[in-house]
Parts: sequence; C-alpha cells; structure tokens
Amino acid sequence: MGMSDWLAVGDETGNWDELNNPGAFLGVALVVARIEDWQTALADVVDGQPIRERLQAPPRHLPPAYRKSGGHHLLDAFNCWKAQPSEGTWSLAEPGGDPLRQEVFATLRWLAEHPRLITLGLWLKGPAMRRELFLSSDPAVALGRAYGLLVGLALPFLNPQDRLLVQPGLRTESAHLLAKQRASLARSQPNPDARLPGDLRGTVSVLVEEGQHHRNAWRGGAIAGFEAGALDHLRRVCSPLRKAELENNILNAIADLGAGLLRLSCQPGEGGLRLRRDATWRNVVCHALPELHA
Amino acid sequence: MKWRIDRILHAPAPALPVQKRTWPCGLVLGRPRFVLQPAPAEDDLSPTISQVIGDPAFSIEWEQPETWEDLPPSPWQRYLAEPAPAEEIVNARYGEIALALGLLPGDEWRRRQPLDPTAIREALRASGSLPQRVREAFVFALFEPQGPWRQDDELLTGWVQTVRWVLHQRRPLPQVLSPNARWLALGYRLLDAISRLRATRPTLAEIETGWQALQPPNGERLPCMLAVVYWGEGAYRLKECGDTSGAAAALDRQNAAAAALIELLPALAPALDGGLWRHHLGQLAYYRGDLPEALRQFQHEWRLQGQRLPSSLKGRLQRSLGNVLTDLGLLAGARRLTEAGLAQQRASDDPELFKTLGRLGEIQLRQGDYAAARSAYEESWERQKAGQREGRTAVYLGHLALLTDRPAEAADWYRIAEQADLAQGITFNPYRVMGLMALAGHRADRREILRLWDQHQTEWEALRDEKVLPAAVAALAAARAAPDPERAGRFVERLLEANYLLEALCPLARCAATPGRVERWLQRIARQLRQWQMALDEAAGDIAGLDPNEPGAPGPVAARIEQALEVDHWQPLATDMARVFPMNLLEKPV
Repeated sequence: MGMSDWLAVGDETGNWDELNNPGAFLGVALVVARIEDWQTALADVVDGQPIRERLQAPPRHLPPAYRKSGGHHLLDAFNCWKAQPSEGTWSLAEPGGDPLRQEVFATLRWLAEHPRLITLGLWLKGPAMRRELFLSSDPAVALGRAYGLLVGLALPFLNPQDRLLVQPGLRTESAHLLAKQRASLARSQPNPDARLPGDLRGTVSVLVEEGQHHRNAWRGGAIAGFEAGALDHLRRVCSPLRKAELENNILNAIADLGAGLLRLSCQPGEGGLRLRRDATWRNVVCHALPELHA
Repeated sequence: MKWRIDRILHAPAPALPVQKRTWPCGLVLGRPRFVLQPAPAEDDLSPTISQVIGDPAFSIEWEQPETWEDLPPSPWQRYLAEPAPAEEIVNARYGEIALALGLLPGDEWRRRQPLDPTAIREALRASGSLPQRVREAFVFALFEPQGPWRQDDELLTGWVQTVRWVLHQRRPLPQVLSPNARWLALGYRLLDAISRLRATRPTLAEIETGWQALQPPNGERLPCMLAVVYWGEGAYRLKECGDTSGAAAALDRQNAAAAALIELLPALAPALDGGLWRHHLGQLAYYRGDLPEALRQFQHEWRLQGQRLPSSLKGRLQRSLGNVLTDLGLLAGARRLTEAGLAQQRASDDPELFKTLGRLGEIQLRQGDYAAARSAYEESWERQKAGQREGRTAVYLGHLALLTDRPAEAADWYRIAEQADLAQGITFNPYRVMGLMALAGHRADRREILRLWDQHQTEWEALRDEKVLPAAVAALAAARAAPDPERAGRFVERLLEANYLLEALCPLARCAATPGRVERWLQRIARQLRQWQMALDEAAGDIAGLDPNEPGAPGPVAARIEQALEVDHWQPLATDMARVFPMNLLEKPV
C-alpha cells in the first residue's frame, strides 16, 4: 500500500477564552479523512443539494435575524434554537416538523454517518477536568494539548507510512494584538516562514509537542507522522493537498459540524436541544477528557 | 517473572485503515507453588499439571496474583482489547512452572525477562517427551532443600524436613507416613528402605532386592531421581561396610540414573551436583584411587557449595575433601577441613560425628601428633553405641599404643577390636591382623609374625583395592621376619595400582639395596606424584585455604625420589619412609 496523506480539520466549541468559568463546556473536534476521501465527500449531495453549496452559506431556513456569520455556522442555529426552546433528546434521523431542524439535522447526519470522514471529539467541563489539561491559563496552550491528544489517538491507526496534516480551529483574535499585526504584515510577503497569528502559532506549537509526545510513547512499532499548521501552510508542504483544491471555508464548516456533533451529543446536564448518539454514527468518536488523559 | 504479551488495541473508528495494533505489555506472574489441596473449580491448569506429574493430589497456587505492567498509556488505554490473549497467558503460566521445576536453565531465562511465552513453549517442546520430563523434574524437586512447595503446607514441609533428616543428616526415619499423594507415599517408602539399609550390613544383592520391592506392580518405570537417591545410599552403606566392589556397582547404578536424568533435564545438572547427590562421584574416584579425579569432583562441588551456609552437606564435603588431601600428603590442609566439618557436626549433633573423629585421628596420627590422635579416637569410640562400635576404631587405638611404645595397651585394643568385629560378623579384619604382626615385631616374635602371615595366606592374596595396604604391611613384616626380600616386594604392584605411592617406597627399599635397582618403579611413582601436584595446584584456585605447597606435598616428594635416583641412595627419602603410616608401625619407636 502506498503512502496516503490525511487531512484533519479542527474546530472548538465553548468559550475557550473563559477557561476559568467552572461551568463552561469546552470541546474540540477534528474531522479526519484521506485527501481523496475529502474530495469525494465534498462531491456528496444532501437532500438534493450539493454539500459544497449547502456549506457555502447559512442554512436556508435560518431566520435572517440569526444570520450573524457570512457562511455556514452552527452557532447561528444554536442561538435560534435557544430563542425557541426545543428541549429533549433528538435523533438526527427524526428531526420532526421544524424545517430549520430538518435542514441542520440532515447536514449533521451527513457527517455523523459518513463512511470516510472520521470525527474525533474531546470535551471537558469543570475545574477538575481543566486542571488535567492546562498547566497555564493560556487558551492557545489548552487547545494545542486537546488537539494533540486527538492526533495521538489517531496516529497509530493510520498506516505507518502515512502522514496526517492537521489544521486546528482558526480563532478570531483582537485586531489590536501586536502579534496579529505582525502576522498580517508577514502575509503580504508569502514565504514558508511567514508568521501565523500569535494564538494559532501557540496552539500549533503545543499541538506538535503534544502529538509528538504521544508518538514517542508509542511502543507498538512504526507509526505515521504528522504536520500541523494553517491550511495554507499545509498546502505548501503537501502537494496532493494543494492539488485537491479543497476550499478553506467548506473544510472549516465541516469542522464546525464536527464540533457541533460533539457539543449536541456530549454536553452534560444542559438544557436545550440534545442529540442521541445513534448506532449509525460509526465514525464519530467522542471522549470526555479523563477517558483519554489518565 | 515478567512475560511479554502483545495485546491488541482496537482502532477508535472503522474508517481508520489499521483496525488493530499490538502493544507489548508485561504480565508479571508470581512463583508457582505446589500444594496438597484440591484445585478450585475455576483452575484449569492444576488438573493438567497433576495429570502430567502423575499425582492428582497436587495442585498449583501462585505466590502473588498476576499483574499487568507496561499497559498502553493514554490516549490508547481505553482501546485495549479484553480479555488478554488466553493462550499466551497459559503458555506463560506453564513456563513459570517449567522454570520452577528446572526443566530449563532458570538463571539463563531469568536474565531474558520479559520472557516470550511462545519462545518458552518452543524450548520446552524442543527436547523429548514433555510429560516425562515434567514428572522427572517434579520428583527431583521432592528431594531438593528448596522445592516449589507452599511454605505452610504441613505435609510438604514435613516431607522436606524428613529428607534433610534422613538423607542429608543420615538419621533414622522417625515415622513412615503413607499420605494420599502418590509420590510422597513412595518417597516415604524409599526413605524407610534407606533407613533399613543402615540398620543391617547389607550385601549388594540385598540392596537390589530392596530396590525391586519399591518398583510399582504395573511395571511402570520409576523416575530417575528415586534411583539416584536409593543407589547413592546403597553405595554409601556398602562403603561403610567395607564392600568396595559392591559400592562401585551401586555407584554405577546411581551414575546411570543420574546420567539418564541429566540427559532428560540438562538444566538440573548443577543442582544434581551441588546437592551432593553425586558426591559419590568424587568418593568413587577416591576409592578407585584416582585422587586427581576425586579432587576435581570435590573441587566442582566446592564451587557449587561455597556460597551456601554450613550444612550437613557441606560438612560431608569438607570431610571427603579432607580424606583426599590426607592421601595426597597435605596433612595440614586435611586437618583444617576435617576440623571444620567436625565443628559443623558438633553443632548439629550429627550421627556421623564419630566417623569424622576417626578421620581426624588418622590425620593427627600421620602428623605424628599422637596425643591428639588418641584423644580423637577415644572420643570416637565413646560416641559409638556399645555393641555397635567399629572394630576399626579400636584397631587405630591399638596402632597408636604401638607407635607410642605401649605394646600391652596395643594388645588390649586389638582384642577389643576383635570382639567388636565379631559382634558385627567380621571374622578377618586385615588392619587388625596387620597390627598384631607389628606388635609381634615389637616383641621380636618372628614366629608369631610368620604364623599370622601363614594363617591368613589366602585372605592376604585375595585383598584388593584399599585393603592391599595392610596386606603389603603384613608382607613387609613377614619379609623382615623370614628374612625374604622378594616377599617384601610382592605387593608393590598392587600398592601402586591402588595409588599407595609413598607406601610403596618402603617395600621397594626393603627389596632393593639401592634405588637404581628399582628405578622403573620409582620413576613411575615420581611421575604420578607430579600429576597429583598439578591437580592440587589447580584445586587451590577454588578451595580457599588449601596450600598446595605445604611440607609433604607430592611435588617435593617426587623431587626427593629423583634425587635418590641421582645419588643412587635411599638417604634422601629416609625421613619420608620413616613417617609413612602404617609402614611405620614396623619401626621401633624412638
């Protein structure tokens, strides 16, 4: 078997800037697939609508008042559902009569039941779990460790000659941060050493450290390698990814779906809409932090 | 021990290309212990093992519960497949039992930890019938001081103590038990048979009959170790009774059994040697007169025993080694070892203490320390049970009286010796008659000397092995009385065959006026003395406190022989010849 490049695109859920909020539900998800499987998946059609098109724009049935993001962002739908409570535990296969729910559930179900796209999720809640993951109160470090843990989980189960390319979730940073300004300057002069925005740089470096830590701890023989960074960076180091022409916003929207599945199926003891994990979600793997981090 | 067992990790999601990976875990097993209790219903290993060893009364317990080490860390631990691979674990458990029983060399395998259960299975299958080897190893372990038994199992602990008591310390079997466990019951019968051998003066044929009585009625072959133990004791007893050729035949049987056992289980060889089960190898060589070989055997045992605490076994080795050194002429070294063995025996009130006192007496006698020798022999005599005393001890006390110019006392002791011998059914003790002839010499009673010689003419000629020595002394005495120099030399060849090298010098000097006339013999003696010296030099490397160059060592004697040949005069050897016991009984004390 030849070497395959795998792409993992991540997103977070919960407000990681509020690490010290004891009640916050925090999670990260990585959607992982071979590059060619990403290409095939992006050609899928859901309810007669190509997935690419479906993820380009907000859900068609989302009331205009909730269209805060330009693209497909589940947070907008969540906000809408918060305003019109639909409590209880739902199955993605039985969305009921609400058209928005039907539309969003269909999109989520596409990912949850996808035979090739793997959703890995990790969540934590409360000070005890948080202490296990964070040695600093820096959200970038915490996110890096969470993503690194998921990378570590997956690596042994790729072929040893494979490579996993990882883009953690891109975060919005305050425009006045010096690091952001310097990074913006750097982007105007493209070169491989161009600096990433400060927060992402921190996350990536911890992710690499954490993932490598697990890779080193592996004693079961040869193991796949990995690279991490923003998609633009990953395209520079991996020509198959460059040639695959996978749009950033579509990939990020799928990562958002992954984080949504994690939140809706794992958030404990919260009011609002919850999803039942169906047996058909075969490639969705979600763990509370203590399950993976002894 | 720690075993490497590859356990399976499952992939978290079916879309991942590698669905299973192995992770090398460590399974730590406690030591297996045999116990005389029914196995619990869930234990499926004990029934198999008890069937293989051929005794359903035994089951296996483990000293500690099994524990896993080196399990996969986070984040993979929760994907570890349960249960762990059963076949590998079973192989590891069988491996532990095999190592505990010595089927494979334990030290070598211990170094290889974590062990591979498949490798040990292959190693166990590699050589011959496994069930037979397990059974042989199990029965061997029954006679080891530290077998794989549960410490609080009363019956097994009692058995181990009885083995120590009867075999190592050579005390009588206190009680014949007949437990349900087949091998233990047979073991007690064996110890009983051995105990009985010591109560009579058995012949080789009677010992063979005793062995046949132990055989199972169904014709099944008994494990080798039982023969090693039985025939070892048979040889020991026959030697005690003076039946050297019978002892050699019994030792052949023991050797054959030990060789068969080692062929099946080579890893047991050191334990078999170190346990003194083959102590007789050295003793056999000693009685054969092959002193360098005896020294090599005891040296080997010394290496194996050296690390151990003082014990009956170590004491026995010290005494045996002392005997060899005595014959090699290293009297100071022999005395040190014998005294150390004696101290050990005094501490444990060993029933064979009287024998060691006799040995010590002989060394002191040869050293010319007659007062000490007498005191040792007297204590030996007192320690023997009245009515069961050895005539030999009284004979030595007679010799001592003679050497210290107390002929009347010597005559008394020789009389006492005769009574003691008769009580044991011994009518002709060549050492006693030799003493009587020396006594007659003291009294210048030539007729008595020649009478005694003629009276036992047939017996003298029939004597072999170590008993050619009194025959040679008697012949020398008769040759002087006749006078008949040719008669003096009659036993020289036999003396040399029995390795009595120094002792052969006296008759040679008697029949040849100058060394040149018997050069061929003297060269042969010198050559052999040099070989002895080489063996001693080699042994000194292992046996601390052995000085191979002490006065009287064979090398210097060989040099003096060569010197005597060179000057063609006996003078360089005069001192050696004057001190050679028992030839010196014929000299009038100064």
